[in-house]
Order: sequence, then structure tokens, then C-alpha cells
Amino acid sequence: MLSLEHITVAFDGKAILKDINLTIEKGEVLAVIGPSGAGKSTLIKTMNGLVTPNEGKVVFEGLTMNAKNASAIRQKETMVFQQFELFPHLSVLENITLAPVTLHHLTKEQAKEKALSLLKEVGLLEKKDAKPNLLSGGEKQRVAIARALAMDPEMVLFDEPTSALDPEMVGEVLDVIARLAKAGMTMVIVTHEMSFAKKIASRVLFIDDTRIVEDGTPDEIFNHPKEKRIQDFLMKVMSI
Amino acid sequence: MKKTSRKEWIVRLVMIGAAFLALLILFLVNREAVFSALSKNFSSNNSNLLWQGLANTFLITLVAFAMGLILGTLVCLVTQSESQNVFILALKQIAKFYVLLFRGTPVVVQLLIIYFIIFASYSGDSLYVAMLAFGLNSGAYVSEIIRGGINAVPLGQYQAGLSLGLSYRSMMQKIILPQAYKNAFPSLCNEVIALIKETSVAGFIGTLDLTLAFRKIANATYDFLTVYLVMGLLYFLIVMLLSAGLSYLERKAFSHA
Repeated sequence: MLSLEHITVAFDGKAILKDINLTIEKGEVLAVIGPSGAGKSTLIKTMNGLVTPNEGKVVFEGLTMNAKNASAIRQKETMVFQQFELFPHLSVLENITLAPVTLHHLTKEQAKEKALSLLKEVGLLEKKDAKPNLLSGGEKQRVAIARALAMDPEMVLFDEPTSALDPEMVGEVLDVIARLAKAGMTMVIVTHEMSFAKKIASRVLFIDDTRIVEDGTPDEIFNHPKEKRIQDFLMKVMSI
Repeated sequence: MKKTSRKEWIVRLVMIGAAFLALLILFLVNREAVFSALSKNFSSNNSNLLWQGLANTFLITLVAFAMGLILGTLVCLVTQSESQNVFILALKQIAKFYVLLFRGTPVVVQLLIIYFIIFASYSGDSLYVAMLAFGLNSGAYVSEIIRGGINAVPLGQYQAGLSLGLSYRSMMQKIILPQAYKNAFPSLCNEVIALIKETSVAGFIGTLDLTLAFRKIANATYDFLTVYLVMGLLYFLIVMLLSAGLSYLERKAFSHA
């Protein structure tokens, strides 16, 4: 469905990703883990075309992403951000209907209906007219997920969806993501929630120092990691 | 907003009270002279002049600000654009030069050059030239204000807009600009107030604004003291009322975010 071919990204001469090759199949739930600064966020933003690679290409369903088709591709692989990035000047409902209406994906009525049903799914129907600044972090992120789903994407990218949340709100967001995974959505999740990754991912990618260190099933990565780097990393984060 | 302490309130009220009392005593002692000066300078045929001047001052400000807002936004979008299109690149140079030129020279100079050189053969009402000149001047400043407003919108908002598949243009239109205007609102209010005051030089090209109206009266009656003091007071009142109105509007419009 989505593949990265020889992707290299550098900012100001400093390499962030080096020669990344990766193919994601339909229905996969790919968890990307690794230490801070390893290039996880850059990787997922490259998949969405928000970061333009210095070398290599992003291919989505046979189409090589370029400046012209990036918008069309992004409609099929929407994204959820660490800092939610809800549009503060719009109500919850308008946040969700903005893209489908602007892009003529749905009519106003259809978009509203769709938004209401999505809000119901994430349990926030009563907040439909609220402005984002009146929501808690967990609520904001659930709205952001509903917003990402409003375009009927074929794939959703999550960039550390729970890292900016207070601990007691992590669960409600992970529940929504887990339900989405169960429903068969193709997803990429950059996360620090190891037990969550272990539970819902069908495939885990460990990234460190600009490269993919290991790519395998949750069982392989979490229970029998080949690389010592992964063992050390898991020791550190799981022992907390 | 910081809360004013009780002590500060007392000092404030005492000082305002003292000033009012002094003015009141002065007025009562000289009330005959004040009334006669006012009635001498502001007779009914003079008041016609004043109304017209006042109307023109507001008209120039309003048209110039509307023009500045549109022009400033367009100029800002062009200068901020990262397009490599040759046409856009050329436009970008023109826009940058325009901002440099209009921010680099006094508005009176711009007014004089536009009226006496560029519009030398124009024989219509100088009011329209004044509107154009102040509009062009305001556009340069507004473009910088909007730029500040746009820069204050976090990068994540751009990415969120784009990640949903919106085009750059609809992302700017629907997500960035509404927030940029909100960020820029206080500075835009300052621009309106600055404009009202700046239009006082419109008389340089013979446009009958409020200042020229007062000057005409003073030149006829030679009572500069009364006329110019009243003029100062009137400008002050206009600016005070306007800024109170605008800050009310700001609270009303953006109270939720």
C-alpha cells in the first residue's frame, strides 16, 4: 500500500534518516518504536509528505508522491499529531467537517452526519459545538482522530498520539486506536506505549540512529530481540 | 489582565478629580469669555465646514483601511509564498519593493508625490487621491502586521491542514488566515487609530479633512488658541471612543479562544 524507497532525510546537513526501505501492506498495524531523536517523527511525516526527503521516494498505491499529487495522497492517509493540532477557531464539528466539505468529498449535510457518527464513536457527541480550548487533552486527541477519519482514509498515521497527554487520559485515546485497529484500519503508530504496541501491532519497527534496526512481529521484537540495542532500550522503558 | 490595586484607584481618582476641578473653576471664572470665543469661532456656517471635514476624515480612514487590509493581505501572501513560479517570483520582488518604499518614506511625501506628480493631470476631487495614497501607505504596514499574525500560527497547524489533504491555498484560507487575523487584531486596531491621526495631513493636497476645516476657521478668526485646542480635544475624543469600541469588539469577537 505504502512504500518508502531509499529514503534519506537531513536537516542542515545533519542526517535524520539514512536509506530507509519499508513497505506497509493493507491491514497492517505498524508500531514504530525507538529512543528519542531516532527519527521516528521524521519517518512518519515523510510518509505523509510533510517532510520532503533529500533522496528516495514515497510510493502510495503505485503513485510516487510529488508536490502535485501530495494533497490527493494525503486525503487517503491522514494523520494524528502529538500536539492534537485542532483548529482553535472552529468548533469540534467544524474541525471534522472542514476537510470533507472543502475538498468536495461530501456535501455539508453528509459531512455533518458523518462527523456526528464519528463523534459518537469516540464518545464526544455532546461536545460537538464546543471550541477545542474547552476540551481536555484526551478529548482533543479523540476529536483529532475523528477528524482524521472523516476523509474515509485508507490509512491513518499516528505521531505519538498519547505523548502530550496526562497519564489518566492515555487510556481513552488508546481505546479508540485499538478499536480502529480491530476494525481493520491500516495504521502506523509512532509510540512510547510499549505494552500497547505489543498488544495491538501486527508488526513492530525499531528505529535508532537514523536506521531501521529491526523489523518484525511484536513477539520477535519484544520477547526475542536480536539486537542488544533493543534489549537495552526495552529494559529501560519497561522497567519504569 | 492585571488587577488595579485599591491604592492605585485612589491615586487615580484623586488626580482625575483634581484636574476636573481645576478645569471647572477655570471655566466658571472665564465662562463669559469661553462662550463668546466658542460662539465666535463655531458659528453655524463654520459648523458645516467641520461636519464635512469630520466626514472626510472618517471616509479617508475607512476606505484607506479597507484598501490596506486587502492590499496588505495580498502583498503578505505573495511575499510569504514559496512558489518557484517565475510570475510569482517577479510579483514577490515588486511586493517587497512596495513595502520597502512605503515604509521608508513619510506619508506626507507619498501624498505629495502621488497628487502632484503621478496624478498631476488629474482634475477631480483630491479626496479620492488622498484615499488612494493612505490606502497604499496602510497596505505596506498591514502586510507586515499580517505577516506577524501568520508567523504566530504554529507550524503544526499548517501540517494538520495539509495532512487532511487540503491544498496550500485552502489551508491558508480556512486555517491559517483566520488565526492570523485574530493574532493581528490588536495591531490592526492600532493601524486604524494611526490612520485617523495620519489623515490630518490630507490638507497638504487640499482635501478638506478635519484638520483643514479647523485651520480654515482659525485663519478666518485668528483665534488659534480656541480653535486648535478644540481640534486637539476632538481628535482625542475620537481616538478614545474608537479604541474603546475596538477593544470591546475584540473581547466580543474573540472571547472564547
